[in-house]
Amino acid sequence: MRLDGGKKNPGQHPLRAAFIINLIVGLFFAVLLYSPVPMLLSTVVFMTTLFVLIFLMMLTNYSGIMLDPRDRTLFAARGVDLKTISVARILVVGYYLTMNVVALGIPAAVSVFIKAGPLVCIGLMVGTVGLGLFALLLALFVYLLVLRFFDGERLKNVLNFVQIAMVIGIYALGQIVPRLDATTYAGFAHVNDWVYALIVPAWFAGPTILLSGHELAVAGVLTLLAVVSTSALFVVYRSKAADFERYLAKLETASDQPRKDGWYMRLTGSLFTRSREERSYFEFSWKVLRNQRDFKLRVYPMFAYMIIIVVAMFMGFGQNHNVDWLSVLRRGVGYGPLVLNVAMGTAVFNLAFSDQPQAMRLFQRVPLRHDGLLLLATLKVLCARMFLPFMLLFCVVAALLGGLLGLATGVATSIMSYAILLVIGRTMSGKVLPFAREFDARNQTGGMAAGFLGVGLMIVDAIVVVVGVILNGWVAPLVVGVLGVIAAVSMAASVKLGVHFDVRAVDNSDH
Amino acid sequence: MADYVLELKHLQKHFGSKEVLTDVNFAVSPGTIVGYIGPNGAGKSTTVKIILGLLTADGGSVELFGQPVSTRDSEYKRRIGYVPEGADVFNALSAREYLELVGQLYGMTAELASTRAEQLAGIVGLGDVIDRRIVSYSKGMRQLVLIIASLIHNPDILFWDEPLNGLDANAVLLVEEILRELRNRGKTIFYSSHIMDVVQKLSDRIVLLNAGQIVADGPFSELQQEGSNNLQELFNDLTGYAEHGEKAREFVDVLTGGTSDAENPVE
Repeated sequence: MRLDGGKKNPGQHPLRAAFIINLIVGLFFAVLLYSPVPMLLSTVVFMTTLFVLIFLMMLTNYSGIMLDPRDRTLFAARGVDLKTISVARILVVGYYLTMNVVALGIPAAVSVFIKAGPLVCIGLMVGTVGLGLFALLLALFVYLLVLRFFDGERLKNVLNFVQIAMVIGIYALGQIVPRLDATTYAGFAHVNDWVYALIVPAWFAGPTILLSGHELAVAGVLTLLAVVSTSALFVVYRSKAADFERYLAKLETASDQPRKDGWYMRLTGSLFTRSREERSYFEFSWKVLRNQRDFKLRVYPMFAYMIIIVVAMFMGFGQNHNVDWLSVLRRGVGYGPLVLNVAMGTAVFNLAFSDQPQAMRLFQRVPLRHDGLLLLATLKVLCARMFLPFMLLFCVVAALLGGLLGLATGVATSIMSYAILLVIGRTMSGKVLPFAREFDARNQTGGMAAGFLGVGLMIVDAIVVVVGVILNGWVAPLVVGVLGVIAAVSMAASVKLGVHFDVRAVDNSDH
Repeated sequence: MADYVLELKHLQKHFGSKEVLTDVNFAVSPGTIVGYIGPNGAGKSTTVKIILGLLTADGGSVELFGQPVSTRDSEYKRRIGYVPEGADVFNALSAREYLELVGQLYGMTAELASTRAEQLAGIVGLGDVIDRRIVSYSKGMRQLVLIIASLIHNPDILFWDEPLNGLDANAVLLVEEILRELRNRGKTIFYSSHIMDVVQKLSDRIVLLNAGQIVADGPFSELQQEGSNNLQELFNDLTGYAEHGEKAREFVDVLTGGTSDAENPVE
């Protein structure tokens, strides 16, 4: 297998690739500033959306660097001051964050430059960078609190929970502003501007509006709030920087007790696996995956985000149309398992990473007869841990609301959803073993591709759901079910027999 | 049936323009401990990787148990036990879970793997901690887990690279005796280490590799030359490294500016 111990492609520049991708994403942001609403509102919307993205980026990509306890061991033993280590840490994260924030903000800055002149453009860039700094300090402050008040395994669990909760909260918050349709948007434009003082990201719109020469009082207050809040966080963190490094040492302690194999693991293992060999791989992947906190941090929020998006879309649809929700639910909840598809790309993509990729060298030394069986078992673990509980929930609710038809629809779409997971796993796995790479926050092209895949699947699923709800009969579930079974069986065989990992190490050091 | 467990014939390997192995030839009989030594970059790890099917040789052949080694076939790995240098073990697993997994990967049942793991761990002093997560283990304890993992399926040939890393003195003696016992029962051990006195003590035969070529092959008693009191000296003589005293003085001169500490104290 090609473990990531092999040398990187010399031509690879992950930071440059991320910069370009963020520039493209920034182009969409630039459109927000051309809305036919007052500049204050459009800038607030821009800053809020940007805040969502920046904070998410930090939590999912850079939290590993911010919370790495190894730096203290490396540097403090050599007489480096803890505060210096802390500053260095912030500078490293800040550098990458700034690059991404600047890339996101450049298109917007250009559009503002054209529309309102250089001064306002400067205001926008100042606000954008300030927002990035605020988000970084806010994340550090939250981490500081958690590290201060918790210890041991509970600390790690709380940290993971807080990170995921923050991300989900931001996703949910981020849906409020974009959900404003044209009517409400324009209506919101007539609300008293002082309301913006209650919206934290709006504070960073202050410099832009201030330099535009409009609404000076409001802009001045918002700018003051931005400066004071950021400065306050900076002062607090600066005084506690050394403590932060000390608290990080708590993350190095680990419980020596293994987690018990629960009944759910044993039940799904016996139901989903077809041989002893596959069962071994299933249990192995289960135990490795359940300890991957970074996997949960990167994948669970995306999973929740997709569900929030779908719910928000339905709500948005319902707001504008006279909808009999009970009737729609009765017909449509059975198609719920299809919603899970949108997160599968991200989940499968992140299966490649672990905190101990070198440990996977074990598979170089053993007779790996069926490479694909390891991948198949890992995909089944992913399904069992992440998606099966929701599939079962949808089936139960569908049965309660829609009777036998609802239940049949739920089962059929669950099978199809599982088949789609296998397809994604087959196509995305490549020649690299699961858990065999170290996550690189700079190289996000794969993750973004997975995200776009999710969006694409969302569109396809929406079509299937709409058709199914409209038809309201057995045809759609039958077709989906039969296709799902065929696809699941054939893809399982394809994964088992068609996947071959490159077991030769490409490492010419230490002859 | 082949007389040799392992046979390398005219083995060649290069990485780009760099010749890593040049016409390497030797054969190993069952029940032998072979000390495979050489300076850094000599080609030792490359040899082992070719034998394990992780690299493809550019010339020559490797036969294990009379069959050519292929990167496509992995069944022969059931008869091999390998302890690589600096290997990682999964921190999230307990030793029992890890050894059960390894045993099952080698074709054992979970029950047999667990029983054997428990027995072997108990013998080497890990019995009380076998159900604790490996993350809490010391370096030496992890090394013992790796050693057990290389033996749990009762292989016929072992490839051990610096297996005594991190072991305390008692564990070192135990492992040395285990090696001798394995050899006496017909196992073949391919032992690579930079600790020459251990290699000398254990090995029935020394194969010294330098710059991709074998420069010595045979029992130490036969290789011993006039002036070489031990394997360390032999190693230095054959690899052309005799200036260590001079280099040591040069090294410390850089630190002290060519003077003693009393004349050049740390500021």
